[in-house]
Amino acid sequence: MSGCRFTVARTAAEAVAGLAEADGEAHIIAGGVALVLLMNEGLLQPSWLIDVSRAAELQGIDVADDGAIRIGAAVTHREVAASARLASVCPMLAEMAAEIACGRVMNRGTVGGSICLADPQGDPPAALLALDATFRLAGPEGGRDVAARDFFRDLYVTALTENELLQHVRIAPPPTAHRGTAFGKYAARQAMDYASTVSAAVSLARDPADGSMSDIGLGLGGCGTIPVWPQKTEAALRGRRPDTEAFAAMRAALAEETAPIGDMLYSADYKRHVAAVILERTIKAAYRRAGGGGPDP
Amino acid sequence: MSSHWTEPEGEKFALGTLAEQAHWKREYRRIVEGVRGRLPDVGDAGGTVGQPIPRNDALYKVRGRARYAANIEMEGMLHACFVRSEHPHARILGLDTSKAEKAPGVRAALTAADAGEELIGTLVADTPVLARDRVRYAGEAIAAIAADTPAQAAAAAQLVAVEYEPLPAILTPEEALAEGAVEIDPEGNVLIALHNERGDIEAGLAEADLVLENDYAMAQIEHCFLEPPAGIAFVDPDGVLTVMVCTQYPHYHHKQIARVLGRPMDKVRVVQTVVGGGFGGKMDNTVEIAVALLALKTERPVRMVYTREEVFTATTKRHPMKVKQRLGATRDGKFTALDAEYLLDGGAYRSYSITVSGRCVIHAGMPYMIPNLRVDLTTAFTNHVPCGAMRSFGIVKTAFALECQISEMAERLGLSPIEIRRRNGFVDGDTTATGQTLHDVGLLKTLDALEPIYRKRKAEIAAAPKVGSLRRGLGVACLGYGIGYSGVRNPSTARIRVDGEGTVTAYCGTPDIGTGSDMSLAQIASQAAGVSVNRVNVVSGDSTKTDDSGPTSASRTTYFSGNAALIAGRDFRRRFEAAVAGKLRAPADRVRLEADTVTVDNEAMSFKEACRLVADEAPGIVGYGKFDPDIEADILTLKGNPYPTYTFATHLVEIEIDEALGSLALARVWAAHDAGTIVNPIGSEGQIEGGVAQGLGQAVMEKVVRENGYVVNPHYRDYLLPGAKDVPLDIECIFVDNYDRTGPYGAKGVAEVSLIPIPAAMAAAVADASAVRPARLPMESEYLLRLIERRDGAKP
Repeated sequence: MSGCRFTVARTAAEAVAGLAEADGEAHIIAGGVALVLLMNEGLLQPSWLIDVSRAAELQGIDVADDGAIRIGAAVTHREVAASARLASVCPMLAEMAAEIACGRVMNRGTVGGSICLADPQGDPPAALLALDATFRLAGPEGGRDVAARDFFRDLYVTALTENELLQHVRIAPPPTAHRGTAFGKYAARQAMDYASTVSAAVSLARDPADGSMSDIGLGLGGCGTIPVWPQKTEAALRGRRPDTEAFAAMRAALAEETAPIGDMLYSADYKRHVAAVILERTIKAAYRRAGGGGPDP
Repeated sequence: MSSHWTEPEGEKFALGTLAEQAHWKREYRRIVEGVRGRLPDVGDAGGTVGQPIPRNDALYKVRGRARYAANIEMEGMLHACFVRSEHPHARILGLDTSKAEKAPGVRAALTAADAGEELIGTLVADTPVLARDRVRYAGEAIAAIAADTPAQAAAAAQLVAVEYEPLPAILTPEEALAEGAVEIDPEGNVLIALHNERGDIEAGLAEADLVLENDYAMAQIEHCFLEPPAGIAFVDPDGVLTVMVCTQYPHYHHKQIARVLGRPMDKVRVVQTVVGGGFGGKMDNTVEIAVALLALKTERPVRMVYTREEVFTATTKRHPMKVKQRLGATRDGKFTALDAEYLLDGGAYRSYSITVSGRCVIHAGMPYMIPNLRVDLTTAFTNHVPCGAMRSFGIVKTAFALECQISEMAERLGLSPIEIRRRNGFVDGDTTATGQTLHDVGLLKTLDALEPIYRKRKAEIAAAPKVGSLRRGLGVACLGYGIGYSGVRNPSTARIRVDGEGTVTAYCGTPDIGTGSDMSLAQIASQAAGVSVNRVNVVSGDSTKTDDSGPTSASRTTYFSGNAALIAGRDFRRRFEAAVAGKLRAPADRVRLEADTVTVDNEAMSFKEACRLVADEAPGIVGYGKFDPDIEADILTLKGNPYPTYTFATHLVEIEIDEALGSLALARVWAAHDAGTIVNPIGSEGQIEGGVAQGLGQAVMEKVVRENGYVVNPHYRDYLLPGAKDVPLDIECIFVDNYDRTGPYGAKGVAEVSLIPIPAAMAAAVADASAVRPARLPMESEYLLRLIERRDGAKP
């Protein structure tokens, strides 16, 4: 780490200016959870770190009266888990954040860091895909918005250009009154894992008249080289009640649009199976929260 | 240049003086009492054996005050690292360190040419200090660099040019044993082959109403001690080469360093530093010879600390093992025959493979009376990191195979898992497969202790509604385990001194590696001596101050060193009484030292007063104890009495399996142990809880993943260990009432054994919950799911 410059940006603009000055040599650091791991393993030797953990525009969780949410990129997972206001509007986010890795990672790790790392097994990206979040990026030309569903491009590659950083996340107000959200995941251990093996995030609305599902948003972790937004699976479920046929259709669509990567712990086949089980359970949980009843999975 | 080392007073020079320790002991006691309730006051009572006494090192450790080898800094100290083989099997055609030697900060490079001709090794010296013309596994040390900083050493290591000629790598025992296989060792690829037999196996199988035949396989696993191997070497002004290292056996290194370096024993000193976990992984060679040679070469203190990657790729492992086994029983559940074949992957050098292999064969069929038994074991060399000692020396795997088969046998015969074990379990007077007649066997007591719990939970689980794909099940497994080395004498000694102010110091060569053995030894020694335990300071594991009392391994410390401490304590008491009698001109038989008080006829004085009385003679009052039980077994036939005693246990576990995912969780454990008298219940419970956690890891997730001769998961991200949320909160430790007539105050010891039954009991519980029979470790969720799918596919 010798010779690494470390500067603290007080605003997003300062961070953007630093990135421009460094001309591709600087890395943004917030919690440092993933970055410092890479540095310790000698895989990354940055010459300049720009700390955005105290940058003004990257702070805070705001929930508007209409339910619209803004989460600063430097907000920690602990803050997300602890926000009562957020939990009341969107239980899935609090549920997801509360089960991330372990206490130390929750205390240090940030929403923005998790998004920008773009680990295909990360939990927050899956949740934000399901919620159709919008990412506000700060850059030399001012700011721009990119949909979460358009942000993840390839393995560890995102829509961010060299001189941009993530400023905040916005989630539009829920479309209807009968909405339920839920998050589920599978990992070999109850805690401590680097990332979930497979995770599933669900946002849906239930039609109180016929019990059918609409406005379905899904996000999956561990199902490919990027966090996956499974549109065909959403389509396969839309307009149906969560019954055996619906889940059979879900499985068929899921198999078509997910390509988990086998690793030294699990085969791709097993991950695909787990994704279907976890997604089904999470849909049932969200449906229950939407007032649909039904037994615990 | 030579270095001075000022040694602070007190245990392991990390814990401070006795006066300093008093505060910590009080603090710790307060914390422990907050959890456990009030502890007995041991202030001046004589005997504390059997009482829960908080150990004196815990607070120092949790507050970061313990000085591990990696924390020791000395003036002018250099940092060393190894250059390691990049090939699993290759000839070394050339080795050039010249570039590395010119790199910034580098003070020395060490190669085989500096290391002399002597080989090193724990049982058989078969391993070069640094590879000379051939490497036998990826990760084998070829050279070492000493530099001003760790980063400079690591950078210079990259500059060492090694020219290899790759040889075919042998990756499995089957390949190693195949005709025409490349020979890894000059003596061939069979590391060891052992055989034991009793009765008539064919007759026994013929007599059986049911014979089960199964194959089992267990993955390689790593000890996962938190502290990586580390050590520091320096030369004193008087020419003594001191090596301070985290080890389970400092006296072994003392002898080996003297031999390899050609130095007299009194010019070498090995001091054990605070050990951050051993589990058998710190009984072997790591940094010792290299730091010693570099310290001599540079005339500076040299420290080396392994990286976690080195721990995974270059330290010994638990053997991968395959078991092929037939078990026969009559209709009423009496075992008639056991026919077992064990195949072990020993890795590239011998390490402790011979001990592990011997223990596996001796323990085959244990703890059951099986009249006809045949066991064949082969351990083969492969081009993997050597396998060596690890908690239970292989028995966790042989027990997995046997206990899984017994559980299946019970089900097929319609017997409860407890009843079938009761019908066959060892009792006093039974003879083992090596011909040893057993005494003080408490196995059936452990079964009796668990039976009511088993019945109750069985009924409750059967009555509970099934939720989704979750199923619960119960499983039982037993063990019997010999205490100490297998079939060779391994005496322990202890020495007790006193000063004029009443501080008693007990010296013992077996080091405390985090088990709390120093406290147990203090309890035994003080009770035998008749003094308060609070006076006793234990010095252990220092080649200058203590005698070689054997390693802290093989579950031997409480029994062997405890007996030595007992004898030394009694000897001390007798000598002290004689000294007081001499001073008072009283007959020796009128003086009595007991409960920290000296009585002469009807007069009483405190022990401290008596110490002042005999102060001028105190240095000469030395109690000595040697314990050397008569154990012997033939190394070829394995017949004889390999261990002085055996410890027994039964574990009952409750698991929950999610059949949709195959994921397995350990919900509750009831661990009933016959460990003889329990010297310190806090310590024993801690060992069992740790054993359960370690057993859980081995049961469901731990495995070293090897591809083409390389470890591909050399870090905790991909080598999974159970976390705090995975280990059950409900671990009930039950110590059955049993007294070993040969143990110190009746004690046998707990140690390794608490790990052994867990994987087998969990597998049995999976069978109970889901009607599938796992036959391999780890029982990962994907594996269990496939078994469940096969079960459902097989249904009509």
